[in-house]
Amino acid sequence: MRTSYKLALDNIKIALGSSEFSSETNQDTLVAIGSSLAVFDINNFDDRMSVDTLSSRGVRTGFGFQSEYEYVLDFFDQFPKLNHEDVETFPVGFGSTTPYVGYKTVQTAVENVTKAMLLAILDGDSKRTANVGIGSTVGKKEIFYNCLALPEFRLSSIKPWSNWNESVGVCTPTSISRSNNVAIVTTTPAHGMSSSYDDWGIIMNLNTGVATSFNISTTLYPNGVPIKIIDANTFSYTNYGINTSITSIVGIASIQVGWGGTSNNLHRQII
Amino acid sequence: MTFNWPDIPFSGTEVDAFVAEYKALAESIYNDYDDYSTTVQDVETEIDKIILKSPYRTKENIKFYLESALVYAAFIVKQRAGNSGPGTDFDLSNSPFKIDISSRTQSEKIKILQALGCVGDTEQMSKSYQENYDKDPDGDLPPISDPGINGAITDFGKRQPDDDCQDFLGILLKHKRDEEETPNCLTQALGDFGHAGSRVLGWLFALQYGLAKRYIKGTGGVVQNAEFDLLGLSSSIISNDLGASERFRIETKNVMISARKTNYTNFMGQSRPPSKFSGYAVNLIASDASAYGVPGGRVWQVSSESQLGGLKNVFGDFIVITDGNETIAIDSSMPEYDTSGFYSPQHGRECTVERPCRDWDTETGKAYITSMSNSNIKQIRDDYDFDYGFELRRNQEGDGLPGDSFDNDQIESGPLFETSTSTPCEASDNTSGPAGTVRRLVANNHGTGRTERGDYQDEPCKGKPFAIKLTY
Repeated sequence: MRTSYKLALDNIKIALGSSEFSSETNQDTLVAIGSSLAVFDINNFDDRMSVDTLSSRGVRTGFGFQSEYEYVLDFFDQFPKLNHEDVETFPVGFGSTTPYVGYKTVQTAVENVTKAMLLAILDGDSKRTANVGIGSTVGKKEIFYNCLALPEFRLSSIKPWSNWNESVGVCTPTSISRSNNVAIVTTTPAHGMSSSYDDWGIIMNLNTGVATSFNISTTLYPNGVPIKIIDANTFSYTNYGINTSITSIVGIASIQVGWGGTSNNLHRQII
Repeated sequence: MTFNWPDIPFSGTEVDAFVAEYKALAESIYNDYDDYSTTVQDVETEIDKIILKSPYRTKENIKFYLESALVYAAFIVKQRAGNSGPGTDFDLSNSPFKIDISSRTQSEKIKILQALGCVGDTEQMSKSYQENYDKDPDGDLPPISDPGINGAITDFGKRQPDDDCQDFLGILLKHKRDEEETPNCLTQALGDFGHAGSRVLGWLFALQYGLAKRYIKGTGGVVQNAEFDLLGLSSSIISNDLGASERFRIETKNVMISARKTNYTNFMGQSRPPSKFSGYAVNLIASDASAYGVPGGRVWQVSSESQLGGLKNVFGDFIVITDGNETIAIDSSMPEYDTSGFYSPQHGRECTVERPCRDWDTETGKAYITSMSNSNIKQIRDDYDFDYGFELRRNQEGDGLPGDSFDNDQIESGPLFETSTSTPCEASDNTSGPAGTVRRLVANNHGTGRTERGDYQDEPCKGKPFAIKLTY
């Protein structure tokens, strides 16, 4: 098996110098050379709100398109075996040209399977609970496959598509600004999201002018984008665009719940 | 024990229950993976082709994913349950989350180092360290003679000249739209690479890619059994003795007998549409195959449309000549007026009393096959072309039958190249589906502007249709 596959399957992202890493762990990624190599890494879902990831969402077939091979593999609807040693005898001279996928594609697959198992096993809508559901194994398998199915084969009557993207409330933004691709929203009255949880998200839906540039596409982000609570009336979320500030806006923000934020950071050490 | 489960360094009522359920469910998923395919398909086709996205269509890969997903899934449960335990700090002394690569092979370690940005070369690492040591203002760095430093450089700094670095080079390869828009040899090079590599993935994939490669290379001509076998040569065929042409004959028979007049229900409870020809995979074109050199035989058009996966992406519709000894039946109960929605006013295909929408291929009904064997198939014919590339025409006197030899005057652009200014991007974007991006490769190979019949000329790196004629 390719080393990059192994690292991806081990949930190792090797994001040296990652600003996200340093902001969430309050330290830099480190590489220490002594008697061995040590790297610090964290693992969290690439998409902390949705059943899947952006690169595998909707009609996308699961390829991240990091290599030219992935376009070809996608075209022919084929995904290589991760463990090449399983592929019987290599014809002489073909070993170095085995079609491969990039490691991020493998990471995405692992993330989607992780979510699928959580959704299949955990009770209710699988959010915020640690309890195993009471369903049958057959039912849980259907949920598992339902998570990984192509859109045309999904069952909307069972998890996750029956309830994962449901809103848990709305709040009313009254002003909004964007600076360095971070949007800060002020609501009146208070948004009502408890700071005890870090799994909140929003689907912004503003109605007029420049403010619409803050909106969140539910096609791309069906369960919204994660937010960070600043205080009872203010929260922020990542939103790309020019720096601007609007003091009077009309619209609502749908409040969503996802998997969780920094509380789900699994700290890793590679030696 | 099917799985090689990692240790779970968390404990607690909820985590323990979750892990136990996880392992039980994973075992069930893995063990029943193939059975599910049987439930879904009446013929020997795989579940993966039907409902799952590409990465989850291989049982072996599912196993890897399930093994790898356990620790993090359990960690999330642990965090939710609030159980005490490690995972949210970098405990250098006893971290249960450390990944120890010391037992990995030298080449694997080097690849990991290279992925981290290190040069992975002893001499270069030594020079770099010495330079940094000399310039270290605080004097914190140990000298290069330190056993730890020396050991680290020696351990990891052994570059192997023939090291296969494609893993990480792949990360650097980006989709170059500019190159795609210009007809060039990019697609041909891709064809060479892909066909060589595809052979290890199985005969159908090898065949699919081999045929596309042959088109892209502009070889033309007629592919017969021997070349067909070479195109479909894969490692699995080597060990199974049957050539691609014979395997294709078997798969074709499976498609032809898979009559499905009505919607069927897959294992997820969804109603799926039947096959193309009024619910059947076959359409009887002629009851006399003399024109094909098989007196007494029948001529069928076969659709692999309903054969999700399998042959679907190889030929599409193709012609099969039988010896006439297959058993057929006539279904006269076909609805005279289509109710599927295909014939609808919004599609411009409204059914009327004057123009009923029945689709019978005989005077008394729709013909379908009730039993046949592989040996009933005497010929398989097709013209391999693309509606977003070049197509081969058989609509004039002397053009011959599908699978016959042809000349360049019979080639013209496919219908998706509508005008003299149609671009590859426009032509390929007119084709829906997730494979649209790669279809640009075929469309780009065609180039901008429609080529009318009679204007096609051979050029290097220019795609060219070809005929396929398999005889048995």
